[in-house]
Amino acid sequence: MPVIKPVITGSLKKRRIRIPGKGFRGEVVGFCRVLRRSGMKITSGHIIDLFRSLDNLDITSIEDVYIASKSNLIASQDESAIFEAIFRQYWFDEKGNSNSDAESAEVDSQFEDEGEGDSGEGSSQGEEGDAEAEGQSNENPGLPQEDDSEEGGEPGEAGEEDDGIASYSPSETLSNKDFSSLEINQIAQLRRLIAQLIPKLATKISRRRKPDMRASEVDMRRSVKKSVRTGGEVLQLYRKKRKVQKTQIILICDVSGSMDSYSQFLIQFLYSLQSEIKSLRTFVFSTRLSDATPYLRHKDVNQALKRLALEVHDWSGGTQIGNCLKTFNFEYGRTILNSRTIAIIISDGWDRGDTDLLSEEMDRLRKKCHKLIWLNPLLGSPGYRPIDRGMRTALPYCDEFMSAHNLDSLIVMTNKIAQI
Amino acid sequence: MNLTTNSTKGIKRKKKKTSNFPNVQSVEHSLKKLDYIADKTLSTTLFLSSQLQKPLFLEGEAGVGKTELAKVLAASLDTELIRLQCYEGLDSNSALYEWNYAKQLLHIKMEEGQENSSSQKVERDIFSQDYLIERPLLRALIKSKEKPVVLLIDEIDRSDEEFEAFLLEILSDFQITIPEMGTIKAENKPLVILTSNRTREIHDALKRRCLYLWVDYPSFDKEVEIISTKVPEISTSLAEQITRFMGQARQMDFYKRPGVAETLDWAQALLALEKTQLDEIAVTETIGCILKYQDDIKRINEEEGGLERMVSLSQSSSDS
Repeated sequence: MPVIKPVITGSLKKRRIRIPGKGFRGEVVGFCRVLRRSGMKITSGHIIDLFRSLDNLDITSIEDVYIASKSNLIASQDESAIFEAIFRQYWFDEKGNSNSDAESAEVDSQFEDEGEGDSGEGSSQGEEGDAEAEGQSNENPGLPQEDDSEEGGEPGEAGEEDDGIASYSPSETLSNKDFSSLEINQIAQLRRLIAQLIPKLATKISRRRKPDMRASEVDMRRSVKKSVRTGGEVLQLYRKKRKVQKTQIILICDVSGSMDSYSQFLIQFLYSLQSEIKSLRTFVFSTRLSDATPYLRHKDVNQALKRLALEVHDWSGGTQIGNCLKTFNFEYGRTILNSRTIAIIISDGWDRGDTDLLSEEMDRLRKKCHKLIWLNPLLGSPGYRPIDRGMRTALPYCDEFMSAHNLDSLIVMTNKIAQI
Repeated sequence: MNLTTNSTKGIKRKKKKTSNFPNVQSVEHSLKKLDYIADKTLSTTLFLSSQLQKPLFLEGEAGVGKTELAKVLAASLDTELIRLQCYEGLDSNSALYEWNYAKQLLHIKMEEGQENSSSQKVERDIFSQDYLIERPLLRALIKSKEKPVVLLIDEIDRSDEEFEAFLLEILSDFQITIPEMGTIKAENKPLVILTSNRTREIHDALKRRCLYLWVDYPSFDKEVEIISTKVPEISTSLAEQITRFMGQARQMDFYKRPGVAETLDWAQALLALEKTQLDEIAVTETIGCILKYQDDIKRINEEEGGLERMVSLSQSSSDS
């Protein structure tokens, strides 16, 4: 189910915030900071509006605080889960322990237990010292995304190695190199190349018109408007034509174990695509499908990957393409697919799931989108034939079946999409 | 807490009387009077939206009552509802204003024959209010002069990004500049409600200017209450059965899960057929009220135990 139930309402009703009055405002600001650190875009404008909201409500009721801050601070239901976890952690974690693997589920159950027992005790207001100390520990709640010093080091080290490679055109050597053997230092170059490819990607005819004198359609609005200059006499017919627009692309990417050798590249690829095409939606799957879009939108690539890795629990696990496509079709397909969408599945087609299901879901997906493209990194390796069960089942539904093992193949793919 | 800087841009805003709601309870109460059952979250957010004069962004599955909320809100404040239905390709000409070109042209032609006409006069004439076609956004600003209206921008996800960007400007300033006439500014800000079915993501910049609310399917009690309010002739036990059945149906893997609108249609249909109990025949006859895809109808019949089980489940719990 895509709907995340607001667990916080109801059971929380009787609880009170520990310190209304002094220090409360500071705590709210602190809370906003934690949210911001977790990747949500929160400006001081939002915080001010939140305070204005709280002015109008009963701040001793945690429910009111919850509703007000949620409606002010989140911009999408996708952020709801993160918000709720942080809200609970910030306002309710009484021991002040901020375990880095305190997943929302864990906090959840912990909270549910407490909710019953000490609803009366919550209104103890005298413990300001206590609360202040807690306020400080809250500043540093040890969210899993905290430290990125490790990650930061890697590109630097790798950069030195880069000097050793003597080549006239680095992009050329790169372009036919198999991704599975790609060094981490070459990924930056790769991203630059991808960024150049993107503008070519995918265009469609928009419903909007733009002025073009060579076009055939007469633009009455402009013609008449301009004719006012000449006293209402239409001397010149202005024309318009339909604008060209970028196509909507959906990426569904396999991150299961069999794709491991490509995944280093894949995540970089997904990230660069996401930052280049704002309307792109990215999904990753192995045994379970998750929407990676909100994670990939994070400004810092390492942070984005960390958060994504946390979300996808079974990264490098097994594959159940049929099942995951089903999730996609039912939870997202109906709303985000339309007759102009190009759906791209990146997978090696090794599937342990039910082939009937796979073919049913492929069929459903095929019907709902404009083009269905399957990228298979294995197709680049000599002697590969798409004969394994999963791939054989899925193949008849694909409009294009292409390899994606190196940059050359990606360029071919990009051109192909541009022609659609 | 009293903060003086109260606009997001830090500009001091004059305190204006815009909202008729003194507190959260009154929102809930006045919506209920108009047969709209709102929960605490919804009424609080609505209250905040009117207090802060911030647009309200409603997102949720189709048929959970997003558009209805705007209608009821307008009725409860006894004010006009101005609706802008979005579609792909919607542009400022059809959202804001447009000159009535044909009328202008006719006027120019008429003036041509007159001896005492001058080009200045003609220009003054044709760029006046009489020749202006007000579209929803402009109308909302003008009508809000006496009393703030409710402006419903429906299904924003259907419009395209150009329009979103344009809306951004309108929603932050609430003023419109018509080059030929000057700037029109809203004396009172209209209450703005944006809805989205989430067929695509709306740009953050727009969402951040709004209060965000995800409208979920109602809880069991709330849905029973909704049925009894909207279809008062129905018996409580049938209403409960319907709700329980819908609850099960929403758990299933349907391509289009039925919303509250479907519940009400169904309740009305069952009432019209003079059914007092849910049974397999009744459900089969009226299944088109709740499921709109052939695949889904097939699925519900193929489900383990099928309709029989679902029907008996929704009945048995009502007996106990």
